[in-house]
Amino acid sequence: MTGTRVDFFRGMFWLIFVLFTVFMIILISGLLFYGEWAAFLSVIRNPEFRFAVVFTLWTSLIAIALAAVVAIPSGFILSRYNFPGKVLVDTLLDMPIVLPPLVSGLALLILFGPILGNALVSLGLDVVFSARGVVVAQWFIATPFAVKTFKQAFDAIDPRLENVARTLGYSPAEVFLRVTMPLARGGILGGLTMAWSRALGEFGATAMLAGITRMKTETLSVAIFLNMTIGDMEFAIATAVIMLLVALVLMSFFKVFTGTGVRL
Amino acid sequence: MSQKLLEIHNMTINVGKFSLKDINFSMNPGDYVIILGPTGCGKTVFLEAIAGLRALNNGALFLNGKEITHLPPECRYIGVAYQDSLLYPFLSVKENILFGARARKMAGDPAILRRMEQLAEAMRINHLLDRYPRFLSGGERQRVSLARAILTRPPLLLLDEPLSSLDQQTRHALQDLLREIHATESLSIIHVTHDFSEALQLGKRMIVLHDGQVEQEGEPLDIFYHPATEFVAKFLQGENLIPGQVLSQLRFRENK
Repeated sequence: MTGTRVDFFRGMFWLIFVLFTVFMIILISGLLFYGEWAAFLSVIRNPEFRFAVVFTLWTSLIAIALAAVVAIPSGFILSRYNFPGKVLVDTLLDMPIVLPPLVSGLALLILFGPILGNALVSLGLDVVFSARGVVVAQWFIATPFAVKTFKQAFDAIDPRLENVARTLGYSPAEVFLRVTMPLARGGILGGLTMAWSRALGEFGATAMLAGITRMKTETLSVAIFLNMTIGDMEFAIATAVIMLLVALVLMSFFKVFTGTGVRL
Repeated sequence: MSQKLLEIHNMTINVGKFSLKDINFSMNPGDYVIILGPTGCGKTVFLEAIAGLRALNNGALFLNGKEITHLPPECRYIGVAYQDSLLYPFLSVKENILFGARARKMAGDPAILRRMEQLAEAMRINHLLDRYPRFLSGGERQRVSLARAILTRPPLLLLDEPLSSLDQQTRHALQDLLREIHATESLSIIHVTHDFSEALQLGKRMIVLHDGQVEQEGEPLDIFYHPATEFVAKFLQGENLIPGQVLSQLRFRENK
């Protein structure tokens, strides 16, 4: 009797799991096979598409490099130190994850527009409606993901491994470089992959801060939106397929790096 | 009078609600001192304070007559080996042993490489030098950890329950090894444990810690035969405890 109950219980779990997996496969297949391959090839040769690919790559790579600069110390501090208001600070840093990207974009627009805009323009560093704005928006949205993953990676390290290195003659900075970073390597690479995939697909905050100007601030996400609005479905679908493939590859890397992967 | 290797004056350390209170301690070069006590009595805090990994709330530490109270761990040259080895998984056995020498820019020195090979042979791990820690047994890992801690000949070696997680046979083999390296390397050792039989085997001098305070100090056998307090008697597994009052040297009245 008990065995039958367990079988039914697990059977229901399997059923829900399989139905959801089938749903995802149908969804992705729909995107992959809706368009025609000939049109897909012509879109790849389209200069606007090529601009969007190159533009998205370089903006997101700069954004991720900046995210790493901020997220490594932030993740380390959150992992190793307790201080008054830590929960509040931790929650504050998570805000871009839970806020709608449009709200994040609006906040960035106010900061880099009315508040800091004039000062930045006088320094030749205008952010609003520029490629710089794209980098800032991607960085802002991606950094909290990196901070969270890096913190988890640092949490997983036994601090005594660092203590032993101190007694062996390493300064705190040397311990961080020679012990902490190699031990956190998987989590750091996984976090960067996760954050990069988030930056690659960023749309809402980018649209608010950098605008949606063809061949100027046109990331792949912006390209899909621009071409959908003028009814060019082939362009939009081809771009979406490219983004989907990139996302699949990046997520696989993430799972491998963080050791959360399942058998292929 | 010969100079003390280590002197601790009125050391107090607060860790949350726990305190190590007003500890006074000294040892001579070449001593093998056992710190015995139950879990949570402050043994590890005591060792970490000596290694410089914990700041003192009060008191002072002197190593070879020089004050080291505020010296960072990397400047104290004190070796530490923990219960669970704590080898670096991304380094081979050889790289783990040479890790401290690399910090002191000595890893390429032929004398250090010779010393590493001699130590590996003495520790019976010379056939494991190219392996990674995940392929070693618990006993092998502990031998590598000891070799890493003493490679650069620290003036003092701190051992935090180094044998606790090992099976009985491996533990006995490592006890022999510790006795051997203590003699051949002229090492000064502070060895923390909660196992009295280990203390009997290895230590010439023992300190019993209880709730952050020194409960009794002396030779292990002497403490066993003459426990100063009920806690020490019970902790050393005295089973024939009879509550009562000592009336004179030869008279005792049992509590009814």
